[in-house]
Formats: sequence, structure tokens, C-alpha cells
Amino acid sequence: MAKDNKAQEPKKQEVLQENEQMALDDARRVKVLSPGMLVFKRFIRNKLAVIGIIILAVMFIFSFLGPLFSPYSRAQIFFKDVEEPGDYATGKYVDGSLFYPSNNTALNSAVLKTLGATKVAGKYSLTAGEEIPFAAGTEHYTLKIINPDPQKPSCAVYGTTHIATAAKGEVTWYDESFVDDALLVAIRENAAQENPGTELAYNGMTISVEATRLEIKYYAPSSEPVAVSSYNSYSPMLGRAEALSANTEFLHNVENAIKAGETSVALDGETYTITGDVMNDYVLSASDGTPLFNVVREFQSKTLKIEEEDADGNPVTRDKDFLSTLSDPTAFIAAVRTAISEKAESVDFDDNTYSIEENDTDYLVSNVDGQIGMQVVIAFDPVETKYDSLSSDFNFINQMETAIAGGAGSFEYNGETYNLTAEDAGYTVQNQAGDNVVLASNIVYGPAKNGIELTADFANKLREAIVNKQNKFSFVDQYGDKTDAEIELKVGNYYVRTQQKTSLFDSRAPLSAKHLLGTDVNGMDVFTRLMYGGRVSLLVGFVVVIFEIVIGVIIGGISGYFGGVVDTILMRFVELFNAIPTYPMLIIIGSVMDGMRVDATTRLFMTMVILGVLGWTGIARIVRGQILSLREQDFMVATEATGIRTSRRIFRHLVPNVMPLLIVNATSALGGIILTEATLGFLGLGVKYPMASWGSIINQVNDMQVMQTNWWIWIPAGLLILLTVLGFNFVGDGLRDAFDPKMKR
Amino acid sequence: MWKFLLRRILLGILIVILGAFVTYTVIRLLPTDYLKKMARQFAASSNGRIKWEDMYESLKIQYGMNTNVVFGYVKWLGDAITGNFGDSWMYMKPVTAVFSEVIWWSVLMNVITLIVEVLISIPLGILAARKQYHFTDYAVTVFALACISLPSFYIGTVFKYVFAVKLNILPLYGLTGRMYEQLSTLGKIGDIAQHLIMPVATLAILSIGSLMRFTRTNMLEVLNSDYIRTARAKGLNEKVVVNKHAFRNTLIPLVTVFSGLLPSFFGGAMITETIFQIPGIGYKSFQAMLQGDIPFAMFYTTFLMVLTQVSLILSDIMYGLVDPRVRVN
Repeated sequence: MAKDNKAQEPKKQEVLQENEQMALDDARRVKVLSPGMLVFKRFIRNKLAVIGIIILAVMFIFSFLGPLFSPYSRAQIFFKDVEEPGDYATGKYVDGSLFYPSNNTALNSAVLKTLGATKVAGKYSLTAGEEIPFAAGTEHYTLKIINPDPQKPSCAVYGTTHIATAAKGEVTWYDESFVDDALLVAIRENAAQENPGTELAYNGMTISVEATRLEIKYYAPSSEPVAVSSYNSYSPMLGRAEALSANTEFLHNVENAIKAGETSVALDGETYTITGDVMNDYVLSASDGTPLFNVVREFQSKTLKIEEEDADGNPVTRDKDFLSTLSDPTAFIAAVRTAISEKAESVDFDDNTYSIEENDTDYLVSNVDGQIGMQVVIAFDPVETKYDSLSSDFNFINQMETAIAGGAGSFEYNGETYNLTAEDAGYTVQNQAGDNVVLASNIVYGPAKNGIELTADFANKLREAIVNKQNKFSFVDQYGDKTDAEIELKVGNYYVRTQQKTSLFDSRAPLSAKHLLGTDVNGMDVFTRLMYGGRVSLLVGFVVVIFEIVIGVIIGGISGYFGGVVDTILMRFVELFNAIPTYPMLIIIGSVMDGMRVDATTRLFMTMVILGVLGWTGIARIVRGQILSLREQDFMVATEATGIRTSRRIFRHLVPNVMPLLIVNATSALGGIILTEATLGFLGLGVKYPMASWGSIINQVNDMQVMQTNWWIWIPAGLLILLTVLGFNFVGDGLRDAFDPKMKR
Repeated sequence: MWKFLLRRILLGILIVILGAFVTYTVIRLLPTDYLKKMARQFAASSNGRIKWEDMYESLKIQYGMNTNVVFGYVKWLGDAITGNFGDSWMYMKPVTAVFSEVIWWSVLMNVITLIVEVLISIPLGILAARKQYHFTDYAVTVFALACISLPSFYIGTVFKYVFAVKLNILPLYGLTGRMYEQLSTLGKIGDIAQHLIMPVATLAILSIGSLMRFTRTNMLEVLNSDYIRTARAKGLNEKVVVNKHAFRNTLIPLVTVFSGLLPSFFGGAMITETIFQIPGIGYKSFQAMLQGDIPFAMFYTTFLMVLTQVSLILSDIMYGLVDPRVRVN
């Protein structure tokens, strides 16, 4: 029933209209759409085509606009901090004598060390002051035993002076200072023996003898040692100032004390005094009067935005350093110092008033506009640092070893007295001021890697732990932080481990809020790479298609329009290019580019050119076929009859008629090109790092581990390729149907 | 007819010769460093028996690299015509020997693929044509387009991921399993068949789309023709109309499609073979080309060009055979 009603309604209308006067007004005119509109309407009605358009729009937005909103850049590599036990230092008991050479002797220390140690080790019993001559290469040396303790002997190495040579009964002096009748007799006696031996005792001195077939040389030890060999390792200790500078709380107290105008600060039962005043900076001294720190007020000038007028009188904003805007910065600083000392809240200078605001431990100086122009902070500058020089000074070590051997509690060096304190595993040396300067111990230790500076506290605590057989201890590290460490004993070495932060490539990270699609093998954000990869993939598609269209239209157009011999030749040309296999060619050229190490951009362009050169034949054929058939049509005969020139006939009348077919084929070809480029990328022959394309992202799947465990690296890229190509095919299909409804079947 | 055929064959030969020349020129564009590198590798793999400088010189002479492109090509062509394609650098034996070893695996794989493809796509194509504008038609069209849009390496990898890694029911790659040698003849066949499932499925999915669309278009054309209307008008059963009158006539254009498949039959499926490491001609050539194996690359590209020309000529002949209307010219 409903149907019938509907069918009747138009009839009624017709009757009504017939009653009116017949007129061809706008409402009654048959509406004819323009051909373009018609195509568009047919296209829009095709659901698949619309889906295709939507897919492509999304892909374009994702690839070309997406990167603008991405917080990461194209090849940004991410790192992750991993806290894991890492080697911090190693320690071990000294198992051979350590060797401290003089800085300015060209001793072959390795040779000396081995030979010297062998000489000492070869003796069953040693006596203090015993001299053992030995030769190292062409040089002669004498070892003088300092400490005869068989557990940890120490000795000094003396160089020697060539004093005389005996040859054929004649003695020639080489060093006049040794000329002495008694020595001459001794040398003559020695030289007369059949076997002169290697040493000659004379007047409490051991003269080493070097006998050759022709002559015998005599060497006397020189009075100054050139090296010291010891079973103790000497390491510098932190000065008091340096040790204190790690104590931020103490420094903060000092700052507050200075602000409050106090002159002393207490820490651990000791009182530190502050001398000086606001105008001249301060000195922080220990209770015995040793200056530890210069406490300096620093005046840090800030950059201000100053509004000025430029040459044309227009207002401009310039960045200017605050102090440089003042007429006399030095005077201003002095004024600020005075203001601080008077606890004033403002200072007048250059007809301006600057406010001074107290802020915890520092002061902020602001200008009229309220902009902070200067910050006044307190800086600590340690007066003394580490006692580095002593621990490597072999003369100091010589004195100290002598003191240890003699059981003395103190020794003198360079006019200063040092006190020795025996501890569990060694000795601590204090200077007159009572500061620990050097630590001597039969445990050697060293950092496990670069960048670690072992502190004296570490050395102390490590020694304690080793001696007390503890496997855990804590110490203050080079940054003043308290650190826990574990000790592991392995084949005589103590390995110290601490929790350390290491930075690793955050590779193959799973999905997270920071990385929507995780990270890839190189630690780059997959989502961002996909956006940039899309740019390349789509760009390659378009550039290549345009390239193909230009060549294809020119060759196909000429061939189809002129026909005859031109056509035959050009078509053979097309067949030739068509015959060349695409993939083998791309692979060969790809591996050539690999071999030549072509950079990523050149490579991308080369790939586009090759794809275009190998792909234009299809379009040329289509254009030719279309033009061949169009050429015979009446409108072309008409153009010929009206005498329009050839180029105009081709490009004004023929080519527009080819356009629909061209557009359809180009759209479908785009999908194919994107696929080919992706395949090349997958094979590792396409776009290279740091560039990305969807294909080259999937390339990582060739690593079995990635395929098995990290789906987010390769699945999304493949889906994007699939969707994009599908989009192009949908649109291509839709366009074909829209342009030529007869074909729609 | 014969005159046409003769002209077509001569043209084919000319195209192959010119095409090979283009390929040869590209290969000759390789920087000489590249040849040096090859010589070094070659010498290194000989355990010091050969000096690389000697190898370099002999390589240059062997491949005509010591002359200009034209003379070098003429030399290569002269050898190639007599069937001498030289020794493959990578496989260390005559190129033709490598070829005859591996070609049959590719052919086997492609024959199975073709059967699967035909069995799926032709019935689906006919179905879509019969139910034009119906939901089935749209489904088939979308499916066909999706198949065409799939990147071969992606679908292959997804197959591997799903069936070999996750479900673990099919072997990951290769043509034979570890226990192949111990198996009985039947077991061997079964083993190879199991290894071929995923490659064949990949290849089939990739090629189904176009054949399906082709079948559908032709079927529609035939179904709209007058003689089908006549057949229906005289009261024939719809089954008879479709299967006997219509389907037979759709076979005409399909014949040309099949003769066009020849290159892929013998040329191997380079990407799929590489993904699944099937030792066919595609995989072997891919590896050879990656290594810059010039003799193998020249042989393979020439072989593909010959195949293309043969298939074009064949399709011309076939067209003439099945459709008498084209036979005139």
C-alpha cells in the first residue's frame, strides 16, 4: 500500500504542473552536471573509494604532520639507566715489591724492578744497610736494603759512578774524587785475581765489578737513591679542606654563620674560625690556624630583557648583561657589599634604586622593573688540595721506609716532621698540622674503570674491611656521597663492587606511555620512526610516479601521435626497457651502492631514479594506445582541418583526453612503487640509517630475536604499508569506475 | 602467420641482446674497487694459493674488464651464445651447473602455487561475477585488492611468526628438515611438502588477487553477451549456462594470462624464496647478486629476459590458437 501511495504522488504533481503555464525556469530545467562533477559524484558514491581516500588522508597526516607534533626527532636514540652492581675498584696484597722511581731518571723501571726484586728475593737473610750490586742492561746499580723484614723488605736503588778501569795491570781513573791509594791497592789486588768476582768491598762501600776479557770496570754507588722499592703502597690522602668540601651541611652552616656575622663554626668537636669581612671576603681556618678555605662572594650577573629604541625609533627588546648596563660595575658591587654589611634592603646607584632580597643563603639584586639582575652567592675555594706529591716522592718513601725499619714514630723530610701511626694493615702519616697526608699499606688498590677517583676514605675503609675480613663496607666517594660496597675475594684479588648507574641503549623496549610503540633495535622510538618512514615511502611513491608520467607521456604521446617509423622505434625501445628485470637490476645497483658507501640521501635519489627509469614503460604504452585510438576520431580530424599546430593538438586536445586513464593508472602504480621500495628496504638495499622508510623498519625482523619477541618493531610498519597500498588501490579502482562507468562490472 | 612469428622471434632475440647490453653496462659501471674487493675475497678464500693482484688481472681478462664496454660485451655474448656463462664467483662452479641444480625446486614450488591459485581464484572470480553488486562480490573484490596490496616479505614473515614461532607447527625455513637424510622416500616427500606449505601459501595469496579480478571481469563480459542471453532465453539451466557456455569463453583471455606466467615459473620468486630460504633460483641469484657475482647476475638477468620474450611470443601464438579472429594478423 505504501508503495502505491508513493507512486501516485508524482503523478499528482505532474497534473498540477500541467495546469500551470509551461516555462523553462531554473526549477524545471534538466540539471546537467559538468563532467568533472559527474566523475566526482560517482566517485563519492563508491564506498571503497571513500574508505581509500580516508586511509590515505590519515596516512598523509600521520607522515607529514605527525613528526611536527612528535616530541622526538627522526634518529633520536634513547638510553636507559640501569642500576646494577658494577666493578668499582680492585685491591690486593702487594705480592712483589712496588717500585717508586725518581721522576727525572730515565730508568728502565720494569727491568730494575724485576732484577732488584730477584736480587732481594734471592737472599735468605737480609741486614739493614746491606748493599747488593746488580747490572741492568749496560747500567750498573746498587740496592741498599732499608728494611730487612723478610715479609716485606724494602730497599733503595742507587745509581753508580764508573770510578776506574783496570786493563793489563794498569789502572785508569775515571772519577777523580775516588782517587785513593788504598782503593788503588784494592783494585790492583782484585784485578790480579784470576776470577775478579762481581763485587769488591772497600771501606764499608760495595764496589761493583764488571769483568770482560780485556778490562775490568769498577763502579761505586752514588750517594743519592734513584728509586725506592717497597712492599707498601703509598697513596695520597685528601686534605682537610677537600674532605670538608664534601660536607654540604657544614658549608651551609658556614654560609649562615657569615650572614649572621658569627666568627666560628663547630663541627665534630672542633671549632673553625671565620676571619675577614663583607668588603674583603673571608678565610675559614681550622682550630690550629691552618687556613682551609677562601670564602668568596661571587656576584653573578644575569641577562636581562631591556626595551630600547632602534635606529628608526622603533621599540625593540634586547638581551643585555645586567652589570654591563651600569656606569661602573665595580662601584656597584662595592655598594652592594656595603648594603649587605649594613643589612640594607636596597641600594641607590646611577639615580636608580635596586632592591636587595635575602634568599636563604644568597642575595638577589633586582632592578626597578623587578627583574633579577644579579645573584650574590658564597663560593668555597679550598686553600690546599691533595697531598699528591708526597706519595710518589721516592725520597719521602725512602725516609719513611727507614723510619718503619727502625721502628721510629716520626721522620723528617724537607725540614718538616711527619708522624707515623701504625694501623691494622699499614701506616698513616700525619704532617705537623695533624693532617693525614699519606697512607702506606701493603694493600694496593686501583679504580676499576676510568672516571673513578678513589678517596682516602675508600682506602681506609677498604683496608679495615680486608683486615677485619668483612665483605661489606661503606665509604664516602669522590662526590662526597656515602656509598655501600661489597668485597669479593677471587684468586688473591679483592673486587669491590658498588651499585652503579650505567646508560644503555634503550633498545627493543616494549610499549609504554613514553614510547607508544616501543623502541627498535637501535633504541629509537618506533612510532616516530614510522612517521618519518611514511614521509620517505610516500615521497618515493609520488616522485617516481611523476617521473614515470613525464617520460611515459612524452614517449607514448610522440609514438602514438606520429605512428609509423617513430612508433616502431619507440615501441621497441619500450619493449627493451620492459624486458629488463626490475628486482635484479635494483639489487645489483643496491649492492653497488653498498660497495661504494653512497650516503643515505644520494641513495634515496638513486633508488627513485632507477624505479622511474624501469617503470615508465607501462604508462607509455597506455598513453600510446589511447592516443592511437583518439587520433582517428572526428575531433582530431577537425583540429587538423583548422590548422592548429602539432604541439597544441597533442597537448591541448589529446593529452586531456588521456588524463583520466593516466590518473587511474598512476594511482594504482603508486601502490606498486611503495611496495617495491618497501621490499628493497626489507632486503636492506633501500633507504639507509639515519633515514627511515617503512620497508627499512621491517628490515630489523631479519634478526630472529626481533621476530620472535618484539612484534611492535615490525608488525605496525607492515600494516601501514598494507593500508597505504590498499588505499591507493581502492582509490585507483574507484577512479576507474567513476571515469568510465561502462567499465564497471 | 609464420612470417609474423619469425619476425616476432627475431625481435625477441634483438631485445634480449640489447637488454643484456644494458645490464652489462650497468654492471660495468661498478667501480674497479669493487672488482678488486672481489678479487681480494676470492684470493682470501683460496687460503693464500692465489695472490689477489693475479686474481684481479685474471678476473679483468676473464670478464673482458680490460677492454671497453662494447668489446667486453661482445666477448661475453660470444661465450654466452655457446652456452658458456663462466664460473660463478660465489658458488665456485659453472653458472649453468648451479642453475640446473636449483631450478627445479623453483619450478616445483611455482607449479604447486599455480594449482592452488587457480583452484581458489577462478571459482571465486566466477562467484563474484555471478553475484555482481552483491555482498559476496564486494567481499571478493576487497579480498582481491588486499592480496594485491600485501607486501610479499610482510605476509611471509607474518606466516613465519604465526605458524613457525607461535604455533610451532611448520618449519621456519629451508626446504628439508634436519632428519631429511634418514627419512624414507615417502617421508622425504612429506618433509619437503611441509616445508613448502608457507612459501606456496605466500606466493598463492600474492597472485590470487589479480587472477581473481581478471576472471571476474571476463566472466562479467561474457555473461552480458548476447549468446548467454540466448542460452538463458531458450530455458537452459543456470548451471549449464555458467559452467558450459560462459566459463569456456572466459578461458580465452585466461590463456594469455597463463602464458604470461612463464617468467615467474622459471625465474623463481626471489623475495619469497629468500624469506623462506628455499634453495631455488631466486634465492641463489639474490645472494649471488648481493655479493656482486657478475657472471651469475649476467646469466640470471639474461635468463629472465629470454623467459619474458618467450612468454610474449607464446601468448601471441596461444591467442591465435584459441581465438581464430586474431589469427589474420
